[in-house]
Amino acid sequence: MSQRIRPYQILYDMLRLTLELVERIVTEDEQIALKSFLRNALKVFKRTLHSADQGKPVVGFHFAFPVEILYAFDVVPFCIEAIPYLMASLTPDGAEYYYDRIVAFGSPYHSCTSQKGIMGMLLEGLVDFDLMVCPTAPCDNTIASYQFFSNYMKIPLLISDMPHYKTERGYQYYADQLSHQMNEIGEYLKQEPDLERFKAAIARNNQAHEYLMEINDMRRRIPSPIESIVGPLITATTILLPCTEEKIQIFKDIRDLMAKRIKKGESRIGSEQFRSIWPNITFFFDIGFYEWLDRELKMSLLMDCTNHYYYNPINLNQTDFEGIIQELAQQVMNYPMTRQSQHFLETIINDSLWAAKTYQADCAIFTAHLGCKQVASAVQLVREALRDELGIPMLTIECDIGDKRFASIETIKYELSEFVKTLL
Amino acid sequence: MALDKLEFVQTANILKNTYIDQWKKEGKKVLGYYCSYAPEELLHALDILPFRIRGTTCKDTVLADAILSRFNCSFVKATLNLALEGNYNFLDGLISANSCDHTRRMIDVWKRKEVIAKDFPHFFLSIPHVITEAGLEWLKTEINAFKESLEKVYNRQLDEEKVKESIKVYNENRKLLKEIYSFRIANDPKIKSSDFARLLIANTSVPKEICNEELRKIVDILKERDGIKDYRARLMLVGSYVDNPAFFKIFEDVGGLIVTDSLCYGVRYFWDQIEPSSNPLLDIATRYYHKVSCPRMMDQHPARLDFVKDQIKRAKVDGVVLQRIEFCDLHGSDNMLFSHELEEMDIPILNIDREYLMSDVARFKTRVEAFIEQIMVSG
Repeated sequence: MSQRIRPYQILYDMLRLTLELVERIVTEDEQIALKSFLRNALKVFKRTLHSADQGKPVVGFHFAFPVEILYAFDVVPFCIEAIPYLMASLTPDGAEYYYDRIVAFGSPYHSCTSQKGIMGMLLEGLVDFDLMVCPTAPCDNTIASYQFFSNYMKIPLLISDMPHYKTERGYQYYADQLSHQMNEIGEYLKQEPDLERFKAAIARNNQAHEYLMEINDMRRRIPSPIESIVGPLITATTILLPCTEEKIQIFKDIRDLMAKRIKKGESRIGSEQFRSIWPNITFFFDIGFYEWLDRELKMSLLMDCTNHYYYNPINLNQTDFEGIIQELAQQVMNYPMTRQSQHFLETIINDSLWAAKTYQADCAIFTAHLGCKQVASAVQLVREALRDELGIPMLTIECDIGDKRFASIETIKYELSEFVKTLL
Repeated sequence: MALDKLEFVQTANILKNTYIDQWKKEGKKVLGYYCSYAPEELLHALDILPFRIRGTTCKDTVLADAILSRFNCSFVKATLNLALEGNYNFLDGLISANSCDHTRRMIDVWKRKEVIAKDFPHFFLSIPHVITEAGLEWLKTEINAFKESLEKVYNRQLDEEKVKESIKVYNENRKLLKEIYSFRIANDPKIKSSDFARLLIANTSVPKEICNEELRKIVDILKERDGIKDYRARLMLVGSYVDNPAFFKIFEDVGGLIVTDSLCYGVRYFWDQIEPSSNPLLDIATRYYHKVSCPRMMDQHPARLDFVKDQIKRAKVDGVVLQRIEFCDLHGSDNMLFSHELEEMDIPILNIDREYLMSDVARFKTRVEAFIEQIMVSG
């Protein structure tokens, strides 16, 4: 298998082992969403490794970059931020060696692990990128880390500048930036963008989006018809497997499971005593945590900021790139995390209020992730808004979502256990 | 004459000063700004005093800690704390920009917490993160919109001729600062970095015409002065924001003279002039867009590296101190790159983090002392 994208090979093996393990341990009716994710991710990883073996250009992309654009070309898309966190989920020490590698090189310990992982892997020679693409959003860590890639690792980097405003002027500026970036990618790769491939990728995302909206709609039910692990699985699927048939399949499997349970009048495994929304993102370094949350703490995780997409599917009845990119630009600026991070804080406050009301939450859990300084500034403002407008308490957990050494899972469980006592 | 005895220079030690009192007595407005990307010339042309937000006089951040997380920058916390205590009540408005993740959130916090007052005016500038033609056009529109907001909020009309005059005043200001900088980089420097920092701080706290007058006097004082000979090493300071003269004193106390820097409250503030044309708003946008950048500008690291290398040569620097306020990812990452890229110049480098309130000053001082020893040994 390809030596050009070694992390994919490592993770392919880990996905396979984890699936084997899960299939041996749990019954057929349990962990359906997790098993669907593992099976489908394996297919995508296998295909990706095969593409890299064929010598196609490996293009590293930032999670807030619209990967649909890369699908217009014949390349191997490689999501920078997803890989360290998948490694954190599937292996005992995750990407910690690579975080330490780049910190020893001089990176601040407090920069985001989502990028530090790949930075360390590059120093170890594990990836051979032909090109990288990214926006200037949603955080300082994006701006800082990608300068390492381009200036130290000398990887060609194409940037689209995302403004702070979600206004017509802001959307138009970003659409122009994306069009320009797409042209630059084509010029660099010496390939013409293929409109039909581009539209097909968007069509797949549109279909997955429809399933996700159904899933999120069903998550409103009391008690929740789906396990909490679906939260991080949706995040992983969206970031790791964008524009793929497998993404559609995972969301369909989750949708079908929920619909079946609802029809039968069943809820998720484990009883539900507390309903929580997570205004920021969830942890990735311990997938067993969500089982504990459901069964031991009796808390449902109903929504986090990476699970909901506040936009409509793109209209594909268009005959050129321009109109589609106009719509895509609006979508990108409203991607989960980008939407909450890039704009003024009112967005994260309003989205948190919306989620708490929509999902009838009785508490919120705010992960103040070490890498997200732009979100950490919002902690108290979100807490006050939830308390004053909805009477809902919020727990803040200072942590690194991809590194268990910052706040261990036991510390997190203890904080949550103490917190729920105040809800009784 | 000791510069710190001058009334103008002493304004660096406080926030509200007598010049501001006089300004306000005349019924004129004062606007606070967080970032060196705020186009001061526009405010000047509208007879508004731009005042750079700083953490001077802050002793702790108890009030700000209750709002922000512990991962937020201690400089930003210090300024918020001062505002929550009422120390910034003399401001008539606040300008923020998407400079970095910490400062860009200040507009949200000041607004939502009604830090000064419910109807306190807030202005925001969205500045591109890369240099392109479209980016310059965006910034030009942004500055124009900012101008219109100022006109609306303060009920006045901007006269283009006045903008041209303001550009002249500011160009003169930057020229004077550059002249003083030449005394700082001399073989026997005539001004210490702690005093130079005081000048720069005062320069963003007092009406510019007065600044220029005072700076001219200081140039005359420096011309007559003997240079400093009893130092051990010539240093360059790179990285996060510094607005505390006592910080420079740490180096001076152990024989290190910071002869130049790459700081937004340092050389970068005055290095680039505005090239006047018939379109003053475009001239302003062009200068702020293309000035020596901070690491928020994503595609400008090579230019920043060239600037640092040029300063090292120009000021005959013996060692480079790369520093960042803790939790500053931008400077932290830029410093990481510099620490490797400057190896080719074979120059000693100290890469260190710090707290804005200098709570860890003893550790810092020990490391600086050891660094100067290292320079002496290798020298």
